[in-house]
Amino acid sequence: MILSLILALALQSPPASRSTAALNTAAIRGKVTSTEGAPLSYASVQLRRANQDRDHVTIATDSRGQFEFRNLAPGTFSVNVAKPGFVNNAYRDAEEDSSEIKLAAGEVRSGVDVKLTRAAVISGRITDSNGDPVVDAQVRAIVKVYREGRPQTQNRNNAQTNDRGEYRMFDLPPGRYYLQAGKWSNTWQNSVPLATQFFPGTTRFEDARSITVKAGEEAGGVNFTLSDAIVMTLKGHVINGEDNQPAANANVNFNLLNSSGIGTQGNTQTRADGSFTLQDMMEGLYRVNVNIPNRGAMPPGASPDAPRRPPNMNMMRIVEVNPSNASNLTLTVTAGATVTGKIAVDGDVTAKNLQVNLMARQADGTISGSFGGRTDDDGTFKVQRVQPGLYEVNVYYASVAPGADPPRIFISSVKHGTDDLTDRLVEIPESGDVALAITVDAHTASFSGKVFDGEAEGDTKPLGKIRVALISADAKKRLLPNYFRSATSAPNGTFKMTGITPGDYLIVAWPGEDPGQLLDPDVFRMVEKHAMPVKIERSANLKQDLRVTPALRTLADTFSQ
Amino acid sequence: MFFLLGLWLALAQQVQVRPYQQPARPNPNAPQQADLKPATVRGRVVAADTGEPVRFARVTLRLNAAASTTFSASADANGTYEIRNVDPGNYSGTASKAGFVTRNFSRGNNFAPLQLAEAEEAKDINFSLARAAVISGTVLDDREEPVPHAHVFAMARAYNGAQMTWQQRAQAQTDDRGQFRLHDIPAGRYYLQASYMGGAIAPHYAPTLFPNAKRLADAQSIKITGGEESAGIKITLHETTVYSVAGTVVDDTTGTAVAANINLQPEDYSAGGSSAFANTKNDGTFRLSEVAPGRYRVFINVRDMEPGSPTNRNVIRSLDVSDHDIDNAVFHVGPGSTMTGRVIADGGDLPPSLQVQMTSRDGNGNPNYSRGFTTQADGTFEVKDLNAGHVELNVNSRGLIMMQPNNPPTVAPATMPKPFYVRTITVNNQDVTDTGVIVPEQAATLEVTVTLDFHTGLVTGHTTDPSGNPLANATVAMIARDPKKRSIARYTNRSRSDAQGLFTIAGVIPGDYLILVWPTDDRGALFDPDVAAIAEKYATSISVSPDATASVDLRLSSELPDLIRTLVPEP
Repeated sequence: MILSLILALALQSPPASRSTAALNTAAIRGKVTSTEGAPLSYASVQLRRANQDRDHVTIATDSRGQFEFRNLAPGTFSVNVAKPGFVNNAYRDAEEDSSEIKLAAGEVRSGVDVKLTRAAVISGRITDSNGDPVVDAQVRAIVKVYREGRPQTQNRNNAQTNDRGEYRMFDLPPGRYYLQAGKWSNTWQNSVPLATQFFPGTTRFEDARSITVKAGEEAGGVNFTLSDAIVMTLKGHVINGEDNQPAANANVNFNLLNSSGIGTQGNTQTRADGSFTLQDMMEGLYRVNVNIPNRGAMPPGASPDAPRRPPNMNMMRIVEVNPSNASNLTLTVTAGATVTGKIAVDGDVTAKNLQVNLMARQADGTISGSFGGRTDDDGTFKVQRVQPGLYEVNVYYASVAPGADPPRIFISSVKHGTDDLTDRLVEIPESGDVALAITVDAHTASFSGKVFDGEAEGDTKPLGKIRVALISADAKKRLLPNYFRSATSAPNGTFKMTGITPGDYLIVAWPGEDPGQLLDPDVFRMVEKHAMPVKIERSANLKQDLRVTPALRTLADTFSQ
Repeated sequence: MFFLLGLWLALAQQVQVRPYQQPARPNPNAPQQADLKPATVRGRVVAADTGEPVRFARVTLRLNAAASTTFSASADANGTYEIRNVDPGNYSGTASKAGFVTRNFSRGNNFAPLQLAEAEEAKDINFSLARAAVISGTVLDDREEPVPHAHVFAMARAYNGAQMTWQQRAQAQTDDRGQFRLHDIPAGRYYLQASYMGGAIAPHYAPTLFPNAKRLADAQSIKITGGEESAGIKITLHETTVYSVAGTVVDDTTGTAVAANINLQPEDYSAGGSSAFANTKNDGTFRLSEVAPGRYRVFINVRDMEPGSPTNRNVIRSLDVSDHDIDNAVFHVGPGSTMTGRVIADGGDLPPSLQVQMTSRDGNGNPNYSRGFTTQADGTFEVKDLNAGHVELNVNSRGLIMMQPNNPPTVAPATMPKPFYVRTITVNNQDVTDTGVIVPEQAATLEVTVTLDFHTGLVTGHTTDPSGNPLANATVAMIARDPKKRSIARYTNRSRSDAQGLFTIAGVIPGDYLILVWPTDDRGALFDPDVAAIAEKYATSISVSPDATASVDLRLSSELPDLIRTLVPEP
């Protein structure tokens, strides 16, 4: 029987010759159990050699849940385990806090044990407003995460309905989920889009009710009745911004922006008069891409000295589409603006090879566009064809010597003429030049310490897996990515953060799951008094231990998701 | 929380969309913009078997000139629909509803586009939909435990030329209970295959055909009719041991190892076999792990080749993996083979230039390599750098439309060169007429002789509908009466009758045939012996002599279309 065989000759890098065979005698042994402690037979255990994607071998555990890999050449390995009905898991060494297994020649490593959690199931049925089952509806299991203080949704699992309208999401790790269902539509499908809903029957995430499933549990009957999405016919024109003429044969693409939503997408080409029509589009915020294939043609009647058009003109805009503008959209394609500037450095680092990135971030945290450029030796940079919008400015080192870590820097100043745009969004117009003067500072700080359990000084029990948060004391800066940091304490309670932007902060050890939750104003208001204010100077190495008090535990439970 | 959201939105609104305005400078080169008056399309969607309305069916018109431009509407509870504001133009129309097979709009026997003029009010654009079927069941392993995430495919036989291939008509994945549901499939005969895609942490399973077979000959088909569910189908997946393959790629021109990219495809691949890729290191050595047993076609692409080297950059080899690891595989790349030959004419003048098409197919019957060349005036030809494998040769008189059996003649018969057929093809004096040419892996020179015979026959006649009225644009199909010849493409002919129902098939190899009006557009269905067995009962016998014309009138059978659909699902 295949299953009782223990595979030999696994994972040797060079083909073994007789003289080196003696070295290939390392082994890995372990046991797979459920989290309830029962041994699991016929679990698939995969051994993979580090950095060799195609070099792996899979075997099954025996009737006692045990497995063994033999005749291994030395090296670094990882072990992953799967079994139908359980959540996949990897072997992790708790002491080292690592999933790597380093084997010397001939070494036998035992106790490579892995626990598997039973998977949960969520199922239900989806019908439409006529009472008919909805086929091929999309269903998503979502969890709530916090980004910049705002609750956002993150997809964890997907399913589709069958001809009976039934869906079944299996393989779910136990937890608390929000369910979302809807039906896509795009130009290629012959079906009506159905408006997205959260369970139970609401369009607003704030009103959604979560479903908690424990290991091995099935939550059935999570049903939806979906209504036709309110769709519109979009009509518009594409204008070539360089000569103000209608653009024929331009490619137009509308993509509904919604980080985990189920929406519509439409593609079409403009007619000879530059007009286009898109049917069955839902209301909302769209990323619109337009491409005019110019192929460097000169406008008729242009002088030979006139600058040549670029080969293709591309435009990207975020457009709010609703019934008031849906039949009258004008998309003017321009070459975009040019952002130039010079970066000055404060500290023992160079101004060359810095990557300057402009990132447009939507209200829900998704990035809808990004443009970048690299500095020359003297720190000057140029970013071309930037589409109009509001952008965050990010600067970091693009390339370093192999093996080295890039120097950590922070932006200490952004100026546009006399306007101080430090820590603010930069507005880029439809065309023209925007000149920025940016200063970066290499004097970042670090913060390290240990997390202890309990209020009293005498409580010396260290806590691992606790989130440590560094929050700006300045409310105006609190939500900016550069002024919020978090780390997780190691099993021995220690933590470290580096590359910190100097400033006034509050630090706290948070026993909850998601440190980003602390930026939610409702949560912050309650936690603030338990946090410690610190002033972090340039180049400082702040050392501060933190305590998880009963009050903090109560707060974490209150706000637990 | 909300004021921050408001702040974002307020800032975002600085990016405004302006209402449309006339362009600033009128451009004399801009196309005239007539105000095109839109058209309206109305009709009804009903079920083909009962005539009952298909409630809330979705009808979509797709502009032929720009496929991304569509106009759609949903029918009401009566199956009646109306689509307004449609741009004038030529469209294809489809009607869909869950539980029914999506159909294109067609008038009569052909699928001419729906032409809409300005302001036209098209009506009675009706659709008649066949009910779809469901196949459901479970996939279990050797221990009768469910296998989740197994892929199940419903496959129909399709023919690529005379070669059978699988056409995947539906697919589903099993859930945690091992259960699957293949739905919305047209009525017909299917073979189910279960397989487990690579990449997951799981045992290696070999693909299985329902109920428990590795080859088509041992597989059991499932026949299903519209509206039916074939439930409780059980398929067992068996674990297979996998092996590693390590070796080198050697360039025979230089005698040294050479860097290449290797792609293994199962020879008997049918929508689920495992394939493997590896790139050799620069020293030409490679290693593939977890390869399932089987015969593979190995596609090798040489990375660094000396300029001017006669070695083929892309080479095809084969590999058998049976029951052990392979440590020392060597794939040789080198120059391809050369084919030299000549074409001889019997009973007519050799056309000044002939088109010879060489086609190679993968294990699935799909052409994966096709190359054409023309002969010299004296009929000789030479082709170099041929890749290893099995090659079909087809000879056509260049520019002669009539040689393609699917098209009716468009040139007056008197001005066309005399039609011919290929009587024999020999390679190094061996007859390969109906077996094709085997190009060996080691470069060789193949001497080919093709003999053309101009003593062909002609078949002509009229097609009528079941009531005896002339039937325009009907497909006429002709197959060899001898079942053993039916798998050879040359003995199958097709043609189309014209507006008066007159058809002609030229260039026929003399012999005995069966001929009938073929009711569907399914190319190649007649190569399926089971389909041919049905067609036989409705066909007329005909004998075609050299240099002679045979006449026959054909009536379309009213029973045949449904009978064909019991085997061949509609597209």
